[in-house]
Amino acid sequence: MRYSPKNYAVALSKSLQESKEERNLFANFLKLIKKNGDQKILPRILEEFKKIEIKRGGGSRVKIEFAREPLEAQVKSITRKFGNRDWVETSLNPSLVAGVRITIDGESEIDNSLARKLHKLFR
Amino acid sequence: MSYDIIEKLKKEIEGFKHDASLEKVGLIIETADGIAKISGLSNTLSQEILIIETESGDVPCLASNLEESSIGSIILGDFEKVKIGHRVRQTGQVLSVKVGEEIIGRVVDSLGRPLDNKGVIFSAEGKKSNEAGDYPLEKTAPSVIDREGVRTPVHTGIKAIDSMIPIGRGQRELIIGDRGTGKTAIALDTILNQLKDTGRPPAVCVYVAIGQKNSKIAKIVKVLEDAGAMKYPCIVSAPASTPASLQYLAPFAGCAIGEYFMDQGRDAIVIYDDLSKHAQSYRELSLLLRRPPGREAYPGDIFYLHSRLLERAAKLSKEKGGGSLTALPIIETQLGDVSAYIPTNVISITDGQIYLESDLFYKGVRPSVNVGLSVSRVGSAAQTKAMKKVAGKLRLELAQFRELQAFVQFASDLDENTKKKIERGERLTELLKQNDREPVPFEKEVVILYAGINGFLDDVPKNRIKEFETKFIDFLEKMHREKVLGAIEKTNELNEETEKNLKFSLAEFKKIF
Repeated sequence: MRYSPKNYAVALSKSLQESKEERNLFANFLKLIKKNGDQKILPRILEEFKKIEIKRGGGSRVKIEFAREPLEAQVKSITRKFGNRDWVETSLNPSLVAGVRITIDGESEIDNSLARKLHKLFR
Repeated sequence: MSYDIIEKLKKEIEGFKHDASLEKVGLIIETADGIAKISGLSNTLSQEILIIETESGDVPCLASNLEESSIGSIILGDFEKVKIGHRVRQTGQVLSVKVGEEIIGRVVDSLGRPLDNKGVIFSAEGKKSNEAGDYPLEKTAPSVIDREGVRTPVHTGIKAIDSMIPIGRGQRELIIGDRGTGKTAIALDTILNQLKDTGRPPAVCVYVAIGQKNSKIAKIVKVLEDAGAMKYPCIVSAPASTPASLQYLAPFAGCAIGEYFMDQGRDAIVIYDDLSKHAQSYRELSLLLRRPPGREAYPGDIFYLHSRLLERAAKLSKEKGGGSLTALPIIETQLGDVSAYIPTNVISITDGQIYLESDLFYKGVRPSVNVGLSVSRVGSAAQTKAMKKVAGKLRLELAQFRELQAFVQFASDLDENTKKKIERGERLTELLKQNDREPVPFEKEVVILYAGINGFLDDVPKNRIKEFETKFIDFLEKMHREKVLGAIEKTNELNEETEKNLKFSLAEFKKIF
């Protein structure tokens, strides 16, 4: 039987809650992935794991994309808006042309990029 | 001119407003063969139109599978443009086509876009556009209260059908048979005959071509144009080269177009050519969407797919405008096997079937209608009084003939009465033959069948029946137009006086034939 990334992530999250030996657990988990030949889906498992852990902590996963390298102050002013429980990631995305795009939990977004404005204008 | 364009564009740019508000968004996580899997957009409606934002423009898709953590959708545009990671947005709208008076005489695709190079269908300045409306492809069928009995006939112009398998306005009559037995020809004759059926309000015809060859569709358009019949039909085309998604949607688009005219209180006829290919396109989509396969790998809801489509055919009550939508689905069988999955499904949904047989076709009986196996559950309720008068006897005569047919080879040993019945049956079978694209108006059908069942053809040689028919109709047109044909056309009845005139003209004609 093949396990989905979500199955692995849920199992890992539950094991972590119940077990005290985290280091052993991660090592065993990686061994299991290797044994099942599922190394390819490891990034997707980690994505799912992040989602589960963030949800468990009561926060949101926030992805902030900048069109150009932002100033530290800019990053701080945006990240300050979110709470301690939220997982904030920043990245560079030149395809936005200018501006910033914030995605929350992969479901909602605030898109204030020039790419979006141009798209709306010429649609 | 260019100044105007630039000024207009300038105004649009100046007036453009962008609010960076919180919006729902989804992401493409998987895509192949016209199907896309989307994460996010957890409040999507079933059958909602979603927009995929690609680098080279927006591509619409239809939300089909609402799963726990993703949405399975059918891409309605160029699916090669769609890649993993593209953003998807909701529209809050279900799939619909714009329908109005302007759509008559046009060839459109499953989404209502023109395919005939005759320009846009609904122009902003068009007078009729105000009446046009968006009609959803999926709609609940009219309820029991909104309907009434089927009483007005749809004349196909085919003698065998109009007399023995009458179709009513609001009925669902299946046309079933092997390939090349004349299924489309019956549908085409029905469209052509609407021009000649002057005694009733004209019916708008919608011909839906699903998975057909482009050449066949072009031929049909040409036939209709040449006959001057493109004034009232509309063609929904989803040829074999279009993606399965558009083939799956085509009959629903045709039905939505028909419903518009029904809601206007008019009569519409929708021909689905053919539902076997429609079932195949739905099977393809369902398997790609990873829905569990059932019998012959069709999905479990294949029956519901066709029943909800055909249930939309109705005759509305007077309170609802009195319009009607007649459905003529076509099913292609393999080697005459009517017990296959899709044929049995559609047979059980419809109100009767016209069964075409290849054996009859190759024997030269054309249209190759097997009158023994064909039925119309609406029956004579959808026949005019004149047709009822001749049809009852015709059915009986032919049934008796079929029983005695086996004895034809022992003709010399038979008694006089049986011989007569066989002779009569052969002549009636000959009388029911007719060429395609030559539908006969109802009043002419009545007079010629009257001649047949009342023994006026008994002394005419079998090989001269066709000639008798043509010349007699010509004779009536020239000599007794008002007294016979005109009277039947006006009153829809064959009253005593008309019958007397008809008998007289038959006797008169036989003297010169």
